[in-house]
Amino acid sequence: MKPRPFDYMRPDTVDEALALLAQHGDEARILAGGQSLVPMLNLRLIEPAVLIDISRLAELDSIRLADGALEVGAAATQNALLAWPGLARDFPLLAAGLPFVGHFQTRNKGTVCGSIAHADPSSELPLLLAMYEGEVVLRSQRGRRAVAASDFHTDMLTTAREADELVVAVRFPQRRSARAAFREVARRHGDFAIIAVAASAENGAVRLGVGGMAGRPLTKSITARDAAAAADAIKDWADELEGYDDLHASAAMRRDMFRKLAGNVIAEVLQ
Amino acid sequence: MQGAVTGAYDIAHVDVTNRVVLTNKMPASLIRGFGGPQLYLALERLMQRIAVELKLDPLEVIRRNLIPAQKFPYRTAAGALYDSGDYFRAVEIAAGDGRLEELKSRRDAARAQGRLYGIGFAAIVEPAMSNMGYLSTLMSKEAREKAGPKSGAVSMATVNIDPLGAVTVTADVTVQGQSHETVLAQIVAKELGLRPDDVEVILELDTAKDQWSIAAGTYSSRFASGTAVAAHMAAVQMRDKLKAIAAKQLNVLPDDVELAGGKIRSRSNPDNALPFGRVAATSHWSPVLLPESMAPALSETATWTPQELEPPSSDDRINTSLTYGFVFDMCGVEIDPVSYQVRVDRYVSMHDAGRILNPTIADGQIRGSFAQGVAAALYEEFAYNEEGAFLTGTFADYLVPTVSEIPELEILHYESPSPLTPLGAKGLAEGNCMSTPACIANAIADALGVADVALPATPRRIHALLEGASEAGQR
Repeated sequence: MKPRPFDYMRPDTVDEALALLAQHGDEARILAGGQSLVPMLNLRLIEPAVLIDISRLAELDSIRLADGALEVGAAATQNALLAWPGLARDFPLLAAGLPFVGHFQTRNKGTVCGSIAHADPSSELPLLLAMYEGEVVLRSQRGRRAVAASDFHTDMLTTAREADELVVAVRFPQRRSARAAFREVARRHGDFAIIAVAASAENGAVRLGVGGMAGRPLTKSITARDAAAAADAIKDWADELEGYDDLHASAAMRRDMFRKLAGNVIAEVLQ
Repeated sequence: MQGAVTGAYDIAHVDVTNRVVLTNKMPASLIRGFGGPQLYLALERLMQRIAVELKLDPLEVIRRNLIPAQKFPYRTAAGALYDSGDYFRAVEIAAGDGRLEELKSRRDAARAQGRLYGIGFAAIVEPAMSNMGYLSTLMSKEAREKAGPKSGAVSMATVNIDPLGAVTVTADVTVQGQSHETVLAQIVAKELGLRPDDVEVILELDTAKDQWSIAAGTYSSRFASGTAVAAHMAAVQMRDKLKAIAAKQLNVLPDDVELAGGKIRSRSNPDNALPFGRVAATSHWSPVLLPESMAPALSETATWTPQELEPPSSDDRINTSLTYGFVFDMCGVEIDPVSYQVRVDRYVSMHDAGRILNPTIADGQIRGSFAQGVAAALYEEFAYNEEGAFLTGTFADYLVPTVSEIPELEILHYESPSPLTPLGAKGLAEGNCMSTPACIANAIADALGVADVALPATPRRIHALLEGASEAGQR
């Protein structure tokens, strides 16, 4: 299929983009890498009147360390972040999780902020941001605000972004000493995950996260010296998780997968 | 009834009940082995169930029932005339060289660690080049009598040589990537003493102006047993005509003429030679130099219809196809305990497609068919929910496996040339669409110890099977 007709606008500055957003609000969609947006347009799952293309805004194409966090601008691609020097050393969980995002080719176009703003519950980047307890930086003509990951993702494909706001960056706070692991199950290489599970450990505190079990990524802190000690906590949490049923997995199957994957990632970070 | 309904087995009696079902679900069109996957899934799952129920080795049950080599040509209970084969030998070769032992040792090692590993087999017959008489079997007796008899399968091909000696071939196939151009060029070039790239094959087919008959088209693996034969016949006719023309100019007998290396020459005195193009030009530019009674110009058309393709009998027995290849597959699969995916660990596919016309193309066709077989076994499905809503309407949900999902395949060949065609070649590009789903289903049944395996064996279905198994175990 092909999209319904829309107006395409490519502002030259962020301020222009914000003006367009203020003018068009709900009628507009932001186009960055287009790796989720364009298929949704083609399937007519969304029918915006206006597309505002921010992919060539140089002021948003940045990845930098600022105030103890890695700040990724809205035009920076997933592969640009993967190629950022020192990622594996300073942000091992990002380095572990990013290769699961789509395919190499889609990561060349797909942006980090775009995936987070899209808020698919089984995609990797919202889970990674939640694991880092990161934040999303939003700008509008009314001003600028930073929203914690846990407040930003509210439900399936739903975020705290207002209609006139632009996600200009996301921030991943640095945890230099953390050990990290990331695993997921997908039907085919590069497909959306059925579930994705992440773990990090820092000074004996284990943080566990899961995507694909609810409308948004969920995280939990677990106190455990080893994997065996964590097993009960995993089981309890799995029983609490409602999960959901779709073509590829039942809720019960998701919980079974979670129990096993969670055990694996915790064993990996507590090695 | 389908003549090969009893597959690769020596079964004396058969009774077929057909049921027609009307559905409003997504229709599936005819493609690659259509009908075969359903038949062989039932037949080969049955063979595995017989082995389990009787506590016999599944391969032994297959072996005991294969049609013995000395019975070929073999008339099946449903009327097919299997032209050639040594199924037992093909199975022995595939299972030999330590292949079956390796599968078993991998299964034993996996099971010793508590992993879920199973071995599956499938033995199937791959018919090629449909008998048009099968159309009669769709009609009632009265309609059949009114319409008149139907049988046979006509193949056509033409070889042309223009005044400059350029060779072109046209034929009654509509190619979609099967490399028919390559094989036809190879067959014709061989007879004319040229290189394959000297021959241009043009396969656009326009029924308003080109040769065609009822059987024309690309389907039913009819190329190797049909069109390739017609092209070979046309090339032989052309070769003999060129020999006769050259004999007069070389002043030798036609029997002493050979076509080789782009020249037409005396076999006994190779220095007595003319360039291929020069001889070809004679027929166009100087017809008076032709042997007496020979038609000028160079265009040879051959038609081929084998006598074995008879009309169906009054009780619907029919020789459905001209040639019948044989496929024997064996595989080892492991069920991933976390993802519930079926991982194909080893896969061996043995093909007897008679004489192989081109080994590279043959293996390419087998790999393509195998990929579609894996797709049917593990991925692709028209899924509906309980309300009848279609769930797999995009390629995000209708999962076509990519190269990352297709396991390694070991291909083996055993050649029993067909005695019914001059080339001895049979079809081979549809076999794995039929054998692979059955082979993988048998391996899953072995891994999980279950009686029913629905395909595609998705993680969701595997999870349900495991849940059922553990619930059954608790009882």
